[in-house]
Amino acid sequence: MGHHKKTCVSVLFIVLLLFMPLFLGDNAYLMVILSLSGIFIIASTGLDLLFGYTGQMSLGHAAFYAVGAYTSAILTTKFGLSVWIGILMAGITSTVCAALIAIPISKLVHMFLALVTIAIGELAYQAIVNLPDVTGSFQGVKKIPMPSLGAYVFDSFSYFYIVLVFVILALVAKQRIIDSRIGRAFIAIRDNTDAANAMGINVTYYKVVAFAISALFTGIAGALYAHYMGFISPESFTGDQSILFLTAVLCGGMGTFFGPIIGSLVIITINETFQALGSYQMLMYGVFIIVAVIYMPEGLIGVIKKMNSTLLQVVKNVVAKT
Amino acid sequence: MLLLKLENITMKFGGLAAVDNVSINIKEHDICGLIGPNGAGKTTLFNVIAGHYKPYGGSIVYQDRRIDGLHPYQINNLGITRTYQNINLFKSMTVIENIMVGKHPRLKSGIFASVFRTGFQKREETELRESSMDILKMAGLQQKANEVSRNLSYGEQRRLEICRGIASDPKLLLLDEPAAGMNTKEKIGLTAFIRQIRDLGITILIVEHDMKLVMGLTEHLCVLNFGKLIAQGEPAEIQANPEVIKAYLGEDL
Repeated sequence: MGHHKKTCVSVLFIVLLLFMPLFLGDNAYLMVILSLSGIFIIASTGLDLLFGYTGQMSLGHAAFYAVGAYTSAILTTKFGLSVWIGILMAGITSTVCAALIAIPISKLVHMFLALVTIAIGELAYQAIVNLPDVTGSFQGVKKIPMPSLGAYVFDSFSYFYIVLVFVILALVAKQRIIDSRIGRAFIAIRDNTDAANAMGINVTYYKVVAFAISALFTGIAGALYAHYMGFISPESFTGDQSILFLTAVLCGGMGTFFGPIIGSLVIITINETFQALGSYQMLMYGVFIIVAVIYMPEGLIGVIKKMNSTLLQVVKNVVAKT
Repeated sequence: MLLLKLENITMKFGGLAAVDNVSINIKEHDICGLIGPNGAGKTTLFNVIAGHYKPYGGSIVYQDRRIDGLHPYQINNLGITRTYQNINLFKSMTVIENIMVGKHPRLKSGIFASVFRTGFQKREETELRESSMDILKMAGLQQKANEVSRNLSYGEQRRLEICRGIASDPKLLLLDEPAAGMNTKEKIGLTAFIRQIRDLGITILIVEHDMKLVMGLTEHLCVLNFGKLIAQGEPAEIQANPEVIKAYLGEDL
């Protein structure tokens, strides 16, 4: 897709979202879905940079989501810091954690990397559960404050706009990274690691950078989630959460601009709609991943593109006949 | 002037010495050929020079600096690039993006410059596109600049890989069977293209099976057989060398 087209669609999308609350009136439930989707978009966009663009699978991104969420939650509740500083620190902490983890595991590929990242996700979960003094274990962290600007304190309705600003920042940052020397190095590593190395790209360094940037996005998403919900507990950061991020990326279309956006909207909508299914929901996501991998390797965005070109062809044929 | 000096290079896989005690000197601005029957160790030697393998024994000195044991990206940064026997392009990228990756080590913009689109970064990207286009023009690929590289024809992909190799202004270019699978017309074009690259001041080490092409192109030839260097010298000398004839054609019983 051309640059201009991408910009146009994005601007249209943002304007639509800005005025969304006006259309929805007081439908607070839809605002909840939108805010959660936004948070999900930030997290899965981060994962897409790592998985979709650099080709490094992570099945443990809930770990960085958790680091972000707990960092901000603890700093604001126990130390009384401002929410903005909490979010900033959440980003920094998760980035540093990811970089430290990535240095030893950057040599691993494919299923070995997948296995280790699963272990990292589990490790983070166990840490949360087993450090009650810091994280409150299953009691969780309660009364996490909403952010404020001057005298104005955001509520769960206006919080949507904070999420929206972060979504835009995340998407712009992602696209700029992809369109740069750094992004080209990522894609080169994904396409052909040996050739990337031979072309002067320090593969280990860029894999670590990809992990770190990815975790920055996901960590900030975690912090946004914590302040939105006002309460966090280990249940939100299990392996299932990592699978959900991955499903969003795979389902929407990995390594694309709109993929994680569409994927997140779909996942959150399904998640909310089929709440009654309880733990059977994960079964559904499993089927989703299988279908996505086998029948639509380019995700929903690929399907949309195909439909678009087929439609265009049909229109052209009709025009040609008349 | 000597550019690259291989001294007693040995590379073993298990008990097998794929490259056995090979010493080669490569002079600046030469087109040096490396020939030998299948399995003679030519590609292995390439992989050793480019840093994909750490040699079992011996040393590689490049511009008075030992480079054996360095990582491929470090060797690239010092000015040695390569192409592959089986094409190794970045398939999902466009033609020009492949060149832009080739120029990676010559660029300076980091993450912050990229995210904040600093003036320096924007200038660098603009210059990068222009200079990448210049390289494509030299290879006659400018019309294909924005095509995805996997959609190019075989000959074009080979040429693109050479372009990607010279994008970072290397001192030494290693070509691994660049003419493999090419038709006669493409081979003639390739020969001219390689000469053009040499005229840019780039020294070339080429592995090639097509004898006609090698004899016409190179100034110096090294012959490997079973991992050992059996002869080196000018193409005419090599053609008359009985050891070489024996290696290629076998001997009378």
